[in-house]
Amino acid sequence: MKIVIDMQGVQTDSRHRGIGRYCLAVTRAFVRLAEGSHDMTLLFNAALDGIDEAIDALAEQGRHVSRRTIGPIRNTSSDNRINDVRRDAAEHVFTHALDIGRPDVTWLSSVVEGFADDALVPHAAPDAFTVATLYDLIPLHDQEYLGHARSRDWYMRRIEVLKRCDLLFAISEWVRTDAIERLGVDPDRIVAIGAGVEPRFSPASPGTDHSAWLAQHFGISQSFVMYNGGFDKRKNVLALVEAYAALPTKLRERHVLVIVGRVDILLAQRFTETMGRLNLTPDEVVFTGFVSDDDLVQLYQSCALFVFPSEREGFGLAPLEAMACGAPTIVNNATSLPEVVGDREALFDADLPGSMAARIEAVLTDTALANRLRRTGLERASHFSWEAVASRSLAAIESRAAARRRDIRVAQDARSSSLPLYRVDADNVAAVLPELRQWPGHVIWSGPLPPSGPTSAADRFRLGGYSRILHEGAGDDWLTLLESESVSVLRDDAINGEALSAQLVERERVHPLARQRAVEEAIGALFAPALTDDDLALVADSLARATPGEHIRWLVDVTHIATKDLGTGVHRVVRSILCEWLLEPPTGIRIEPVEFREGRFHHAHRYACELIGAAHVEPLPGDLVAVTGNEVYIGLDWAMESLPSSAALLRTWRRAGVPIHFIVYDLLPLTMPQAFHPQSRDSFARWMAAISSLADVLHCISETTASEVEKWLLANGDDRRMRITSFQLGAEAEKRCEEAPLDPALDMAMATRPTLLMVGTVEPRKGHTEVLDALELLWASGADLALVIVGHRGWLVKDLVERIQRHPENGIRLFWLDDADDSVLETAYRRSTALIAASHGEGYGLPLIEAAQRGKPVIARSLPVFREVAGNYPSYFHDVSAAGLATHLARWLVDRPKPGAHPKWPSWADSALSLSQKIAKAENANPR
Amino acid sequence: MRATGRRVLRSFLHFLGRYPALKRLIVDVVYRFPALDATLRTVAHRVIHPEAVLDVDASRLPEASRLAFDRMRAGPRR
Repeated sequence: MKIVIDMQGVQTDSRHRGIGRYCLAVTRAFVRLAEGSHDMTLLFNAALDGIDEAIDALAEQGRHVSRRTIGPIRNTSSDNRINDVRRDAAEHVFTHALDIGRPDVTWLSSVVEGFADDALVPHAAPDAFTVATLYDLIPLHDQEYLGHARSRDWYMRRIEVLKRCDLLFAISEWVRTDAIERLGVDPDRIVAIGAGVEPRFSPASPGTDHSAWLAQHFGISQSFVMYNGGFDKRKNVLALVEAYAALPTKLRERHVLVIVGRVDILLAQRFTETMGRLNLTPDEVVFTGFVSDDDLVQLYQSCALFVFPSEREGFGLAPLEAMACGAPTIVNNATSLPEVVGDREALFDADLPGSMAARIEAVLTDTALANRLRRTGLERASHFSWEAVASRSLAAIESRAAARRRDIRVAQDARSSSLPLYRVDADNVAAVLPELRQWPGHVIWSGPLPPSGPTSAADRFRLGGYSRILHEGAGDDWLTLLESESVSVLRDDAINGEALSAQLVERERVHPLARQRAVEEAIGALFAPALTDDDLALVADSLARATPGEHIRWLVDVTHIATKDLGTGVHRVVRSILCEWLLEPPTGIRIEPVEFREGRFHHAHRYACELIGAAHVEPLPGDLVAVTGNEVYIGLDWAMESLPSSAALLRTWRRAGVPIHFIVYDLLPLTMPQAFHPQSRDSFARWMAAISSLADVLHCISETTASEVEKWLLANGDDRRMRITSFQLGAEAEKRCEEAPLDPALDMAMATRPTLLMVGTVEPRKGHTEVLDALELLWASGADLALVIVGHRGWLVKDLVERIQRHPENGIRLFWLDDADDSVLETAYRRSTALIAASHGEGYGLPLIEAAQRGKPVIARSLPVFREVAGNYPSYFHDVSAAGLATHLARWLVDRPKPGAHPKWPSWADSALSLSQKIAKAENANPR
Repeated sequence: MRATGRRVLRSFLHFLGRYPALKRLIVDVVYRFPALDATLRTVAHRVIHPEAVLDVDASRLPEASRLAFDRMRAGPRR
C-alpha cells in the first residue's frame, strides 16, 4: 500500500511536548516495521519548523521513505480572522497534496495543531483511507481550554476532521472510550494503539551512583520525591506540593520534593505563594527547570518515588518512563493513568483529601512496597514499546484500509468533462500547444501524424531536455508533447457522445493535472478575489509544486563556470562531465544546469546550449528553478563564493526531499594552510562547513581525497551521517588538439638538450622552488638540461616570479609560459623529455595522465594521490631537499628507467558515467 | 537604525517580562485589532524565520506556478 504520513505533529510547538515525541517515535517504529511491504511518504509543512530535526531523527529510517513538503503558505493560523481566507485556500492545496500520487492510506499525525501556528488540515476527507491519531479530548472535558470563541470554533472544526476520518488511533483505551462516548464514533472505527517508551529509559546499571551528579547539577543531596511534566491546571502539581507539605516533618527532612520542567515567572510566583502558605522552606522543594532526556533518565533512576497527580491524561508518558527507569511510581486514579501503571497499589485518589499524601508516606516508609512497585513497574513498562504500537497500527490499517477504500472524491458524480476539449491535427498542433499549456484539457487527434517532430527548440527541450534540442525527431513526438501538457490524448476522433464523455471523466478523476485544475477552479472562484497577489502566488506555487515532476531532474550547479570559465582544473572537470551528461544523459534523467543569482537558482540555458554547440537556438522555457521533490542537486562546480548565499535556499530544497550531492576536489586549503591566502583558507573552511551541514552525499575525485574528507568530517563535522564516495576523472587521449609552434629560443632549447616540463598553476604547493633549486645545482655541476614551466601565475609566489624573471638562465634553459593555450601545451608535452610533478599536495594529478598518454616519462613526488592515479608509471622521489631531488634527477637522466605499469585511465565519458552511477546508486538506496 | 530598533524592542520585552499583567493587557488589546496583530506577527515571523525571504512572490514565479496563478486570477474557466 502507499501510505502518506502527515508529519505536522513533529513540527509545531507540539514537537517540544508529548505529541511531538509520540509522533516521532511511532513514525520511526512504523517505518521500520512497514519498510519493504509498503511504500511510505512523509509529508512536511514547509511553513513550520522542525523538518531538519525530524529528518535527522529519522535518518536511519529515512532511507526507506520518500519525503515531500507542502508550501510554504504562511500566516494561516486560526487565532486571527485575517488569516481565514488564506487558510481556506491553503487547506485546499494541502488536501490536494495528500491526494496526489493516489495513496491508499493517509495518516494525519496530529490534527489539533494550527490554532497559533500555520499547521493545516484537509478541508475535506482525503481520497485515501484516512487515519488520524487521537491524543485526547480533554478540551471537551474542561471548558477552560475553549474559553475564547475562536479557539472553540477552531477546536470544533478539528473535531469534525476527526469525525471524517475512516479510522482513529487512540493513544489509550480511555481515550478510545471517551471518543466513542463524546463524539459518537463507531467503536469499529477507533483502535487503541497505546504508547511506548524509548529504550534509553532503563534502570541504572548495578553499582551506579548519581549522588555526586545530583548534588552538582541540582543541589540535591538527599533522597527525593519527583514530578516531571507540564503545569496546566489539570496536571494538579500544586496538590502534590500540598500533599508533600502534609507529610510528617521527619519524613520531609529525609526527602525533598523535586519538580522537573520549565516554570515561567507567573507559575513560580504561584509555587512561592503555595509554599509560603504551607510553611515549606525553599530547601524542601527543588525546581530543576527544563532538563534533557539524558538528565531526565538519571533523575528517574535516582528518585525514591515518582508521583503523577494529573487529573486528566490521554496517556501518561512520564509515569511510564519513570517505571521503565525502575522508579517506584504512583499516579492519580483518573482517566488513562490506571491502565498505564496497571497496579492498584500504585493508585491514589487526588480528589480525596489526604489520599495522595497517605500513598506517598506509605511508599517512603515501606521498603517492601517501594520494591514491589519498582518491580511491577519495570515489568509493566516492558509491555509498552513503540514497536508494539507500530505493529497494532499497521495491523489496524492493513485489516481495514483494503476493505473500506473510498472512491475518488473529485467529480465522483460528474457525468461530463469540466475541462476544454481540443481537436488537433498535423496542421494546427503547433498553434494549439501554447493554449493547451495555459488551459489544460483533453486532446483528440485527427488524421495522420506530421512527417517530423517539433521545430522549436523550446518544444524539443520539453520533450527530452538539452540532448533533444538539436534533433529533429519524428512525428509521434508531437503526441508525446501533447500528452505531457494535457489530461488525455485520444487518437480516435470517431468517439463521441456519451462514450467520449465517460472516457474524459474517467481521466479527470485520476490525472494529476485535472486534479490540480479542480483545485484551481475552487480557489479561483472562492478565495482568489480576497487574496493579494503575493498570497495567491504562494498558493499557486505550493499547488504547482505539490505534484512531483514528470521526470527525475539532476540540477547541476554551474554558478561560477556559467559566468566565467577560468580554465582551472575544476572548471575543466565541470565542463567535461557536464558536456557528456548533456549529450548522453543517464537513463531516465534530465540534466539541467542551474546558476544562482539574485537570490534564486535559475536555469543556465545559455551556458548549457553553448556547451553542446546549440548557442544559436531560440530562448528555452523556464527561468526560475522550481523543485517538486523529484530532483537531485549536484554541486559539480566549486561554488565557494556563492554557497554562503545559496545555502539557505538549498536547505529548503533538502527539506522538500531534494537530495544534495557535492563534488569535493581536494581539501588542500585545510591540509596545507601555509600554501594559501588566509582569506582563501577561511572561505574554503566556510564552504566545507556549509557542505558538511547540507550534503547527503559527497563525491571525491580520488580515494585519497575521500579519505581526507572522512577524517576532516570526523574531526570537524557534526553527527550527521553522509555518504562519501570517490570516482576517477577522465583523460582524453583521443581528443588531443593540434600542436602550435613554440618561441624560437624555447624551440631551440628543447631541441638541443633534455627538458623537464612542469604543468600547473604557479603556486607554493606545486614545488616550483625546489625544482628550480635542484636545477641550479645541476646547472652548477655542469649538467645541461632545460626546465619549462607551463601555468598561470597563482598566489603567494611574488619572490618566485621575480627569481624566475631575473634568473640568468631565463630564456636560455629556463622558460615560463604563463599564458599558454592548449595547443602550446600540447607541443610542450611532445617536445619535453619528462614531466616533473613536484607538488606537495594534489586532489588528483591530471598532468601525470596527460604526459603518460603522450608516452612521456614522469618524475613525481611520492604522494599517495599520485600513486593512486598513476600507479608505478612515474619515477618517484621521496627526498624533500633540493640536493636530494637534484641527485634523483641526475640519476634519472643517466639511467632513463622505463616507466612502470599504470592503472587504466577512464575517458571523460567513463568518468561521467561513473559519477552518474554513484549518484544513482546513492539515490536508489535513498528513494524519494 | 535596525540595530537600535532591535535594542529598543529587546528592552521593551524585558520590561514587559517584569510586568506580566501589563503584557497580558497589551496582548489582549492587540488581539482585538486583527490587522495590527497580523502585521506584528509577520514582522516577528520574518525575524524568527529568515528563510521566509526565499518565498515566491507575484513578480517572481516559476513557469508552472505562474500558469496556475494566472488561471486562478482569471477566475472560473472560460
